[in-house]
Amino acid sequence: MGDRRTTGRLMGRIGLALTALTVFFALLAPVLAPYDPWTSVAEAYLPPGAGHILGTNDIGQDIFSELLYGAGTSLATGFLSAAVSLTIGVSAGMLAGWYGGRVDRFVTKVTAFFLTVPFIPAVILLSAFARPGVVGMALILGAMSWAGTARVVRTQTLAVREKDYIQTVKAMGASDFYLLRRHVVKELLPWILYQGVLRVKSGILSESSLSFLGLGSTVQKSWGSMIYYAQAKNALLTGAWVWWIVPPGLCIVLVSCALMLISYGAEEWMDKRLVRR
Amino acid sequence: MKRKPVKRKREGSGGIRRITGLFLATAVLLLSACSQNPTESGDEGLSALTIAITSDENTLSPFTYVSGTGLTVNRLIYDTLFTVDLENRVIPWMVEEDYTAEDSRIFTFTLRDGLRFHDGDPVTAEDVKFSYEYPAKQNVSGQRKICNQIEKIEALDEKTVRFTLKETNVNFMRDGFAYIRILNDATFEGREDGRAVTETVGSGMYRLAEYKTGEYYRLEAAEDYFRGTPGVKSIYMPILSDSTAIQQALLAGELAASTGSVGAEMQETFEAADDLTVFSNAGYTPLIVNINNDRYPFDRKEFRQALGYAVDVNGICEILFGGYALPGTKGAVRSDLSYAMEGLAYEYSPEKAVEILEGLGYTEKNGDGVRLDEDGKPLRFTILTYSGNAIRSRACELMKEQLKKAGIELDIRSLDMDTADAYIWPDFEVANGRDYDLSIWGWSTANSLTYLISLCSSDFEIGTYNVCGYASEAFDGLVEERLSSVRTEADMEELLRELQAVIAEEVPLLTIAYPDTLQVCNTAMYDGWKAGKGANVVNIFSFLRE
Amino acid sequence: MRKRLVHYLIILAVIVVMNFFLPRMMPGSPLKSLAGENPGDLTAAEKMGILEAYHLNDPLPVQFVSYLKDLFTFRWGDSYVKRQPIASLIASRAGWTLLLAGSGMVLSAVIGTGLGAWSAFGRKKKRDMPVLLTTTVISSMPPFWIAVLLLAVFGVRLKWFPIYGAYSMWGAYTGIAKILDTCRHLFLPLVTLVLASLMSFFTTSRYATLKILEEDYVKMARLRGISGKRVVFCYVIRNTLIPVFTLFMMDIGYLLSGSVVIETVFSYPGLGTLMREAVMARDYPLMQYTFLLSSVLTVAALFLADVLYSRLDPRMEVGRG
Repeated sequence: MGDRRTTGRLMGRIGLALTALTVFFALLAPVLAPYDPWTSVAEAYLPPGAGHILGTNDIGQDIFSELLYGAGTSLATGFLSAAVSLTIGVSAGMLAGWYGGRVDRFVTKVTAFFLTVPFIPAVILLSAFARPGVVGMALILGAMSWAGTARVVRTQTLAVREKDYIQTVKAMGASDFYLLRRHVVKELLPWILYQGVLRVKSGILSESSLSFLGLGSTVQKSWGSMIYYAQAKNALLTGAWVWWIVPPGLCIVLVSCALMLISYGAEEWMDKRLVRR
Repeated sequence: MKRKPVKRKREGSGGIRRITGLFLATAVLLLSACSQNPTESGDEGLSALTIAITSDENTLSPFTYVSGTGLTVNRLIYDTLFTVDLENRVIPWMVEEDYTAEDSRIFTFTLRDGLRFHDGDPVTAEDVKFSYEYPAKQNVSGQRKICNQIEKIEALDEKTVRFTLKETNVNFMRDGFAYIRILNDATFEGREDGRAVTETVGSGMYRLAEYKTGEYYRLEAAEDYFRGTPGVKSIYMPILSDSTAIQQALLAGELAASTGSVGAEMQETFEAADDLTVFSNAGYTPLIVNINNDRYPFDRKEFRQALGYAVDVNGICEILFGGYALPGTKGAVRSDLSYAMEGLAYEYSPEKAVEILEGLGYTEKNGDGVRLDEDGKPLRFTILTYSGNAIRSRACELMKEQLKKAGIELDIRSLDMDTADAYIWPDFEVANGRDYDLSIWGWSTANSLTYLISLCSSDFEIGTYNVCGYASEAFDGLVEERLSSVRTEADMEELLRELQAVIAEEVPLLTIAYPDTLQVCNTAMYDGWKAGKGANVVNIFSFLRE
Repeated sequence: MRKRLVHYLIILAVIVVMNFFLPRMMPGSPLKSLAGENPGDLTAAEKMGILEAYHLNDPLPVQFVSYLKDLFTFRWGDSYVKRQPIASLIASRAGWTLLLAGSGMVLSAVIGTGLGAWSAFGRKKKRDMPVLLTTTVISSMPPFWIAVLLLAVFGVRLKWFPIYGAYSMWGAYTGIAKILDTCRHLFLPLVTLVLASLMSFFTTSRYATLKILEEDYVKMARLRGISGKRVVFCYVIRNTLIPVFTLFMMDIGYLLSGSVVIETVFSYPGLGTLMREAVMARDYPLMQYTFLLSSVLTVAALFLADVLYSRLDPRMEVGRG
């Protein structure tokens, strides 16, 4: 048992360290990047070589610099959209599951509505009104994705609510807010974190996947837009994918895996709390 | 003509087990056991080709297709009196060479022998008359505008027909006779809405044998075509909208060609592949930067001129298209045309741009280096572009950097096509105004006098494409004064040059480039491909047997 | 039960209303798809005439009433852009979508849940890390990229599978050969779909299983050995299924529209691409009815889920307590 616990903690720490590292690179991009990622500094489609570690893209911008600058936008979009989606989803789901009755019926109606709103027209409509940029994108993505989370959280909350110990604590006069925060959230934490991984990843990819459908905006330097342009310029068929798609792809995988490791550590935490009880 | 037999290679399945395990192996063996082999060669031309069509174009009748791709394929099914050849010249097609065109107003044609519709009916002068009268009654097609220029049509006898236009129009050969497709009056007679007619009966070299919504078209050669049986008996056209899938299928040998084009970056890859040839032909569809001439400060001619100096048009063209484009010029028509005015190339000079801007009084800058106008507002504008169009958003990105050097800040906003259109061209009616600063745009049209006038005239009755809201006394004056007196090609070219000079001086818009169309064809499957100026490889000449 | 029915009827009513207003709130106009090529060539009066012919100039309430009338009398009319009856357009695509998305959903639910539970069981022995990270890596790839990659490797390089379509368009197959041909075409899109939607089932099932495994009585049962294993198995399955089922029923709504990217890359003639075309062309009627179909399906699934929950566990009923 002791061995397992240490692994979990270790994995969680590795995850945290990796995330911190990515954030660190994102913050230091202006210092570390060899070129301005917006300027065409060399010939287009250069393979990796002297001066350009990862070569250049279709308009002669340095891919390595793009990657560094892209980190900030990507992380911001990913984390912000995940935050919006999870905050709304988790609180709505918990309220519905915890209080039941009228609250539940109302929340269920609203989630059902959001689940049925067709994605493409809704995104078109929202992006016509939203301000372009990270915040706008995060809000759109959050608004379109919270309903699923809410429904699962609701059923889980229902199950947690009926647990003996929760009932006991409740009988002891604990406030609803305290119970939700201290116990329900903790019980749900690993799942919320998994959901976070999914949301962060789809937030990061949103620029490329939406643009594929003719909806997104690839105006900013980000990993998603790098993949989009590489794809649009057929990097996969020309061999340029090795230095054009793989690096941003790996970065996204890295962030996802780092978050997954954190969730792994959190499972341990939940476990420990349960055992202590 | 030499034709090679086409056989699809059958791939062995050895070594699968090692890679993907027993399950996949079994599945693959089972599944690949039924590879098909639809094409084989015969003595009388090729029996079948598979060519991708890039969008679903409904029943492909002249009133139902939705885009240029539809027009391309439609042209195989429906013939026109005249046609545009591979050199982009208008030549007689269904009519005898000895036609008359008095004053570019009264035209008399004799139909050639052996013209037949796909249902067996002969093409008569009455059909021709009907084909030009029917679109004029349709409320739903651009052909209406063309047919409305005709005053009367007389079927003089079974084979002779005379057109009289309301006014002289030197362009009518190209805009009208090479464009309006000949219909069988039996199909459309009494049908009020042409779009509701689902029968596709033309007199072209192919007939539409089968159409499955969203899936495919099948064209079969018209055996008794008046210029000889086409070189390929059946053309299978799967509807493939994803360009990556099309390129993959071309590389895999599953397609012989596609109505779509490929990017310049793929040129080497395709050239390196066996059997594939890349045809590059001059494009007539310009990449444009629309300027909202209505809006301050774009309503100042000098400001627009400054933009012309601040944007490195030739540089952008080179970066975006490599060698595969003709850079745009200030004259707004292709610079290699006979009537293009010389010396209108864009000059990239940030210094001159700065000088003009300073001259306009935009001298002060804010903390970000952006110039301020009289009211102290920064020169910060938004450029609209279509989402999911990589070339256009890259063009914006490059412009943003260049304008920054002149002290102008550009925000890029990419929107879905219809949303952007709603800002740039609300209700497709230029008289309804416009709500944008700058936008990336393209017109798919010939570089003719008609085009230039519809693009730049502030009389919105004729300036139907004036999405820039350009209003110039000089331009309008020239058109009003001279258009009605254009009698000959020479007159027309003269007027065209003078109009270009006005446009070059007043800069209503920036023409960035005329990208070439690169198309990939499998020459082992079929070697009759013909590419031409502004022509898709899927054209009548590709399938015509000499 | 009646209360529940009313609850869902309210949701349906809201959806019917939304379906009318959402398309009309979007910027842009269906004029382009109604006017054919070169809408700019028409005069203002001609454009107005077109809009009038399709009653698009009527006041919204009038349009809304006729929308309701058409909806309930099943006179859905023709698509603006396709010029064909909407019902037959939907019918020709629905089968393929159900085949692809339906089998994709079932497979990803089964595989994802299985893997999730397995990884949870394996957690103690630390053999879950590879599964966990592999799933994470796969789900970090954008679906269109997975699709293109599979196409490049298995379609172009190895030529094992066809590159486009749902069946050999000009191969006259019958019987078994036809089924095999359909499967061959289905394989790559299906794999893409499963890979792309695995993650949420995986994590949900893993979480639920882990939680159950920590329950005291399950622990006890495990300790008791063989006889307890069956108890564990039954208990875990039962409790994992609830959240997985919730997820599954929610995804039914995406069944019709969710695979648009995959349909596009593999040129699969499904409803997703039809819906996208409808949106891009601002084809109001086609949008209305395709989205209505998808929404009604979602609501039906939610309703069904709700009914089944309360069978499984009466506490789950909406609005109870």
